[in-house]
Amino acid sequence: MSLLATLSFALSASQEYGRARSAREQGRTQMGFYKDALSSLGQAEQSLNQSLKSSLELPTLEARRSSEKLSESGQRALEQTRKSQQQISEASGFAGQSIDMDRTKDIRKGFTSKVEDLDISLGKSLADVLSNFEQQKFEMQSQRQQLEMQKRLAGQQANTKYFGIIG
Amino acid sequence: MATAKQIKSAIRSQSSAQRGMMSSLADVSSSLLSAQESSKMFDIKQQQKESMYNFAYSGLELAETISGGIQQKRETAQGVERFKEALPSDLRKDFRMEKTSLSDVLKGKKGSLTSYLTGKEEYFLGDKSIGSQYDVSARGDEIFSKKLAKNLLDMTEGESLMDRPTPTLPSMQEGYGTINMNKLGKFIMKPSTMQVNQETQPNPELFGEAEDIDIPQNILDLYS
Repeated sequence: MSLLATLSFALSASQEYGRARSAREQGRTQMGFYKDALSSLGQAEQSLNQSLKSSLELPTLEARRSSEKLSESGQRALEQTRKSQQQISEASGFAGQSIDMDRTKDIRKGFTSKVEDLDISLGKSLADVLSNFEQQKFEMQSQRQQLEMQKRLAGQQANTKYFGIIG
Repeated sequence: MATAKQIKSAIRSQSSAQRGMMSSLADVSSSLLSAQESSKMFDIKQQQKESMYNFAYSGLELAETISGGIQQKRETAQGVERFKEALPSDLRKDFRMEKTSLSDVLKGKKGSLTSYLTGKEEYFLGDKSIGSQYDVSARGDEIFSKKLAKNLLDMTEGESLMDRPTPTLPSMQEGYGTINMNKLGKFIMKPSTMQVNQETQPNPELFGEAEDIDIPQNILDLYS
């Protein structure tokens, strides 16, 4: 009977020791995974910050290019109008100043409207970029917090005490 | 003017940063999946270990049960043997055991199906049944322990207490059953120092006549 009791005690002790050892090992493994995940998340955050500059730069450059093109075409249209008016004046001998002014006004109005459209489009693009950036930043922050919490728990598990007292 | 080169460079830079970010996020997901897989594997392994230990505990319990059963059987057999040894030699040959057989049970001659299934044995002294193996074993143990106690007392005191007659109370003397309340009344109603009323007397109607109850003198002497 005492042999059986000893065996039972030894089995129980072995089970408890094995349980604590496995828990510690598993805690360390988990900690490694969470450490890797946090490191990768840090890199992702860096990439996000880097992408913000280029993401803002791209629509700005595109808008600038479009505005410059628009300006050039407006300029050309005005020149064209002035030339055609001059040719008409020379051919007829009359000065068509009022027609010239109306045409120029129309061209300027069209130019202003297109520039405004460009401005709106650029503002919208920049707002979208910033909004996406903030959203991704927030998601990454919350994921970081979650990972840190899980890492802390894994650390706690890695320090499981043998038989509840020996650590 | 913003050149196409600048725009292309910005596109490259943006896509590169986004690729890097997506790659890092994929690494995060991969690490989390690995952690989850590891956790699940750990749970499965723990369950397997738990089953293994439970099996081992069951084995130990079975061994304990078997060991206990064997021990009990041995003790019962020992008790029966002690009983047999305690019997006078001429009676010893009449001491026998009968086990209920299946045919007896089915024919309804003796025993029940339960007694057959539990392997109950019945002991006889001649034709007289003296009970099951447990009854006989208990008697054998009782005889043995009494013998042991006798030997022990013999060794310690010389004269064994087991040999002494059991002390009994003396029989009631004649006259003890009748009480003369008239005589007793003066003791019962005798005022104590705490009583104020000195005139209190025993009431004959309550305690009866003097001839009804007779108290032996030796008792009265105790109170006088």
